[in-house]
Amino acid sequence: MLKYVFKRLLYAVPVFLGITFAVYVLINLAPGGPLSILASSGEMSLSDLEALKISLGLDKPIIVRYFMWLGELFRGDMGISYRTSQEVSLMVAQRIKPSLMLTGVGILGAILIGVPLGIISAYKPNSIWDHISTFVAFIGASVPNFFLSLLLIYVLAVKLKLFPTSGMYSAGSGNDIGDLLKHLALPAFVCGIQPIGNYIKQTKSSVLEVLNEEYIKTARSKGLTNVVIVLKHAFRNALIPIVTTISLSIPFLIGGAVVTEQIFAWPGIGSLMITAITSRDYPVIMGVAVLICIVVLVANLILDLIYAALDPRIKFK
Amino acid sequence: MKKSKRLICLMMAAAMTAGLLSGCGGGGSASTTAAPATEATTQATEAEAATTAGTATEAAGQAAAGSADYSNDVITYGMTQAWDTINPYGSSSGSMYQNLVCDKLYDRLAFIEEAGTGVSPRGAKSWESADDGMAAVFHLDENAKWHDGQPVTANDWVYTAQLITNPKFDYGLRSEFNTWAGTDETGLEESEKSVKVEAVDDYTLKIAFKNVTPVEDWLILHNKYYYVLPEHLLGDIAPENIKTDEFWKAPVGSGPCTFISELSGSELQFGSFEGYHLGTPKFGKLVLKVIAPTNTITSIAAGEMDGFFQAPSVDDAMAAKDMGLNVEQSSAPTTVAVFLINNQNVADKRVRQAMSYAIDKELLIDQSLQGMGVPSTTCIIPGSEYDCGLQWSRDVEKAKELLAEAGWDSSRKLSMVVTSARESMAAVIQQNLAEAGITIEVQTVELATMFAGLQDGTYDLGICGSTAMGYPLWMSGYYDNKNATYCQISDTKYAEIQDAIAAEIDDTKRRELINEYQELLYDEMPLVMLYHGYSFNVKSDRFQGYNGFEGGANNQAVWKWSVSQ
Repeated sequence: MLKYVFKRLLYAVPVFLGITFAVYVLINLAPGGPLSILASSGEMSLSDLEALKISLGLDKPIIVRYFMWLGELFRGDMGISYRTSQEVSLMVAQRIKPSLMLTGVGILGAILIGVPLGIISAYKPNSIWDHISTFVAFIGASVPNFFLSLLLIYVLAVKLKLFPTSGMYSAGSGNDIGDLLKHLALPAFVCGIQPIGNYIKQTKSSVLEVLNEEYIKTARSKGLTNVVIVLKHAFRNALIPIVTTISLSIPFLIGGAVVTEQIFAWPGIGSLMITAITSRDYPVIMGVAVLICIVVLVANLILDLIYAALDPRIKFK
Repeated sequence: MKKSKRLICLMMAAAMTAGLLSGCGGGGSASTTAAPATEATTQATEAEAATTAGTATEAAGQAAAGSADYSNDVITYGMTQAWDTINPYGSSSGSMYQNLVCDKLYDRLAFIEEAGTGVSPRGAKSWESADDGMAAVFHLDENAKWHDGQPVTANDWVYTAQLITNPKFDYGLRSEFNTWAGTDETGLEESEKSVKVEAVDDYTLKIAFKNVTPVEDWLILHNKYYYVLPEHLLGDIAPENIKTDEFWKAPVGSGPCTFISELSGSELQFGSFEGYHLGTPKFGKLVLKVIAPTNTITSIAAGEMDGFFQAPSVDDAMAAKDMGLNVEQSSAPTTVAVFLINNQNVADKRVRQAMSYAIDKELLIDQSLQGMGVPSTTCIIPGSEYDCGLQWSRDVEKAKELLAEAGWDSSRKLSMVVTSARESMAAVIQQNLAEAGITIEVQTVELATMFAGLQDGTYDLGICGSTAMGYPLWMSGYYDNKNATYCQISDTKYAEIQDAIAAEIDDTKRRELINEYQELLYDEMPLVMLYHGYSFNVKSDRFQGYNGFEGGANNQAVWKWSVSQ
């Protein structure tokens, strides 16, 4: 297995280089650049602009800049933000925890609700649970996040005052856990509602497929209870597509929920990325891209290892 | 089935209980509820009294006399865009959000009143012109202190001036200081420490200019970028290393607020500086939060926020009024909408004049501002002190005549760029210009693309907005051929008359020049001023001493802010 892991990590290197190169070139080719944003106040002189261009290294060709950036990255330096003059690694590190907290709670909630609902609706088609599952899946897939966010803020925060409208902590709250949970509730719900739909649908179809297999009929004929049949035989064999669906949420887990973070003023990676993109802050955009890229590559590797653990027929080659 | 029903009932009961518990746990927001009206009025009167207090010394005296404990009072203030950095010389954007953050930590020489209507003391308690207008002498406030208790002296101001003109110190807005003697056109010192900013004594600062410069004019235009830095803490660090020094992780300034913490681009926490010479701010903590524009009004309605910058749209302000929130309207227009024209691609001034006549400015005001604005003729605010009385009225026939005179090719298409926020304005303008015979294609892009395209001449036309100030040269950068303008202006005549106005001390001659300037702008029409708009301010009932419109001048008198109990 170690050999397999080593080989996969080796393969990941060119993929990583390819992704970072593509992102670097694309953001540099996008119309508008950091200088046009920095000069947007209309007060910057042409001489200031020229000096700034040289000082930021923007006078060099894109390829040269990419390799300079890559060299710095391998030395552990993600660069300095054009906009804030802060270290990118510090800016990214500050945002990881809030993003993980928000999307982690949202996805965990979605798994805890979506997977059982999917199993039940597969086991009892056309029951009330099946109808509830279908309804939740429909809402999750069809209601846009921004609309749901604004609706929840208006009803639950402004009108009923049950939750705060935005932020991570109340001003002067001393950052206590209760206050954090209250702030987390609405954005985490919004983050979780869309994946719930996916998890319900995926779990239901996988479990339904397995329930029609011959070995399930054999298990029934042996007199096993329904709970044992569904949980031990059907669910376990239906797990691979479910795990795949869940694993697709991992980039979202790290990349943050862009719209939700913006609306709820949640200080995560998503809002950092949006600010960086709108201000063409190339070092920060690259910092976030590197983080997401590494997480996705590592998550894919872990996923393959999980596949093998779930299904003994899958071997490491 | 029965089991299922029982389970549903159980879940609903659990949800209701959770809701109730959550509702009971609202203690955190208790402190943000509105104060009784009478109490609020009393506080407002006190705040007004503080506002009208004359000199810095008087204000400091009042603060010293106050014995109330404000340490538990927290003011939460929203910002719809993030600041760049808490290093005042670490950003090149010149953004107002950046200036409003640094304004609280570091002092500047003066305070610019709402819409530039006046200049009042801040780091300097008074000033005068010297050397026949070639220099300014600032008498610094002897009570000013750094947050570590050390006195702020003229040497700190000199140190800062030498630092920001030093080529080893990386600063993107250096040309703001190229009016200082001893600097070149880019604002760099001509030789080591050649900048003519001198300490006459510990509390007297002298700045020499290259040309005759009225002091208040210089303050209105450039004070916003001149923040004093502590020489005793930074003086030993090499200029090239200052930007990355640990100092900026917990900076020591001499402004009204002390630094507590920062989550870059998201939240800043400031304390109240007890030794602030204009008076100790009456709060324990000021929290600045970046907030989505869609959430500003709701946050105030929910009692979680006390105020926010930038001003809400007219629609939002009206909605806030309907919700019973505290909404104020500016006494004079504070914003301006500008129709940008690429002067290289549209070189004939008659075509630009035709555009001005063809555009229905009144309709734009009705559509964008619900009528809360006035059509503009030039960059001078209509009806303001310097308005020379030029009149504009829509005249499509005249526009057609001008186009015919200019030999306008009606098959030519001009490209216009806007952001999504101005799409509806673009549609009106497109229709108006088509009536006169000018065809335009509108492209909606995001901000960075728009600015880049206007600066490099990709687009012929565009729309942007700005804050409006009473000072006649406030928008000079839009016409200055030395600036990275959006209108590809290479003609030097605008900059020449601007320089002449800036250098004229005699009031009568100055007014004549300003009138000439307006006539020149109206005749050449390098860009079309669409309208000057009123702005609105929404704040919580408990927020006192707050002027929602002075932020447009890049500063806020935070030492007057308080919250009623």
